[in-house]
Amino acid sequence: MAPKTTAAERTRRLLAILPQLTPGAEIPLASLAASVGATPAELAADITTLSMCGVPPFDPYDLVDVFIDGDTVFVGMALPSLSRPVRLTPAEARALVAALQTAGFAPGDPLLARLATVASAETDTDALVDRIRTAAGTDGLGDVYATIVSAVDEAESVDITYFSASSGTTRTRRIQPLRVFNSRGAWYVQALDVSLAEERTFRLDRMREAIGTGEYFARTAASGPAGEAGFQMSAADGRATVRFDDAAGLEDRDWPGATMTRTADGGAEAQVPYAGTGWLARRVAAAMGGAEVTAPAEMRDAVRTLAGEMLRELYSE
Amino acid sequence: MSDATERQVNLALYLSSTRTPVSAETIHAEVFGYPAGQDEDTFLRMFERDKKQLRACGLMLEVVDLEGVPGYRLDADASYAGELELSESERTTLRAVAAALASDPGFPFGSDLAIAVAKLGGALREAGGAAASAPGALTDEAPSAQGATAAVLAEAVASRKRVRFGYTNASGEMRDRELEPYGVYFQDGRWYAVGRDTSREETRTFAVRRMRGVEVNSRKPAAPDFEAPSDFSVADHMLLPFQYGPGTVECELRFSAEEAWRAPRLVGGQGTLEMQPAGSALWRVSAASLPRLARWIIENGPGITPVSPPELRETLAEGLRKVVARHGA
Repeated sequence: MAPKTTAAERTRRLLAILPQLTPGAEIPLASLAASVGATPAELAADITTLSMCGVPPFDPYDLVDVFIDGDTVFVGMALPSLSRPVRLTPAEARALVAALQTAGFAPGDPLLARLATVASAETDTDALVDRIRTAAGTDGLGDVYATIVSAVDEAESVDITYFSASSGTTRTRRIQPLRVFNSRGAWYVQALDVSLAEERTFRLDRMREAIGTGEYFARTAASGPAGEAGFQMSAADGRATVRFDDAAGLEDRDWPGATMTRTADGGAEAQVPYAGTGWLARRVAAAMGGAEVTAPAEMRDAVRTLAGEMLRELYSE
Repeated sequence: MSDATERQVNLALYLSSTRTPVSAETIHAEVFGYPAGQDEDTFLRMFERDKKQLRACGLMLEVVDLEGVPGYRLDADASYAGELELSESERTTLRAVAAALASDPGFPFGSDLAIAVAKLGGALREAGGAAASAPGALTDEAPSAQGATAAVLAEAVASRKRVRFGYTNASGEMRDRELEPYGVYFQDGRWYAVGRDTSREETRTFAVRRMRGVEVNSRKPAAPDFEAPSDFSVADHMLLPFQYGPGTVECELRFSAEEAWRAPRLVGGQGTLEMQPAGSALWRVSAASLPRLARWIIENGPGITPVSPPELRETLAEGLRKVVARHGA
């Protein structure tokens, strides 16, 4: 059962939406509710309360002129007062900074600096970023994130210069971005890879750059921005059997899609899906002899070849 | 009878509409929601709670002398935000980030984020972006528990209050801890708290997912229990996997010119990164474990080579030889 909303929370969200209630506005109830993290039913109750609020002498012209008809919130006359936006509290500023950090807006970013100007005087932005961090190593990611979400919104094709962990190479490809999602703090975009004519998932922090092309694509029902997000792999996926000598410290979450079985000798055996041999070869080689691909042969070859090449490079320097 | 929300909104609207300071007595008489027959002490307690709530919403009151009694008025400069100019791209970005995280149970500040974006409503009007985001999972392990606990810890950081909790270490041993939390960070789907472990008298990092029953010191809630070191930055504690453990070795690694663009994102703010004239990048970083650094090099390649110390090159080479031997034809 969802926790009961407190009076304090109701007051807070009502005061937050007041600036949106401009005279003559017609706002979908669901979107207004979503904008303050409430359900439509909760906000409908809030709006009913709000319609009874006002200033002395509490004549009809002194009340907040707002009502709901069907699924729409209608605003009549201007608010009796408090129509200007209220400053962000320290907790609200912290939430914005923490959220934007995940998308690559690091301390010192001009956007964060401007948001600080609408925060309350109690907000110490410098201290805030020393106490809360939701990402590190996000150099240039903010620009990539902004380009990708705008492109999803506009259904615009984007040229991305992308480092593929599967192949270990960086190349430019054109995508039609469909939706963006976060997994374990990393942002991904599910998109149609135009040259492959296949849906793939691209990690935003592996994009060197993303440039809108000015070309727009038609969305289909299946490719609309809403909908289930998920990791897409190519149709040519294989599965490798990987043997780990020591399962201590081995975490299933680090092997997405794998089926992991602990063995009696303290090791583990995993069936690991792969698309391209590069990524898995690196993961197995990184165990530095503590893991072995037992099948298929192409994956064993890939691991051996990678390690051999790295050895040669190491001694050629 | 009106409810607290109705009374508090009425109070906010009233104080926003009055240009001159008003006494508590006038507020009692004018604002709908304060019972007419209420005695003065009861009213004043209710009024104090309402002022505190308005403050929590961002509305600041100032108190002036009004012929010998306190006069209240809204501090317009402290309460109202100025004009915020945002580009279309920035508006879309804000909408998209909020849509993705405000309802993610692993994000500790979801309701604050929603309210913050609602307050920016004017600046974000007509902005797209909300539909660009699909539901994701910031944390993949007990997201509601991690998000809620991280929220409590972040509040304790802000108010500088000690916390107590049961903690299960990597060996499965559980014991009670007391922490003066200096900061909170998020890395690879997990929340962490950094602060002074009072029993060990040292700064330590604790994984939120291993905590149970986090309690904030409830004594003197308005008075801080401690001061964080003035030079504390939680970013300094967001270590890479090879940096955990006693002792450190200074290492140098080179990113090739082709891969140097990835370096700032991979190094995660650790060590110093120096771009070289030929386009490569030299990274100087401390490591607690050379084998783990060697693993990191393999995993994050290509184009990353160890420069020094020689032991790092040997560790890497030895590991690679084992891989070749084990995957022989």
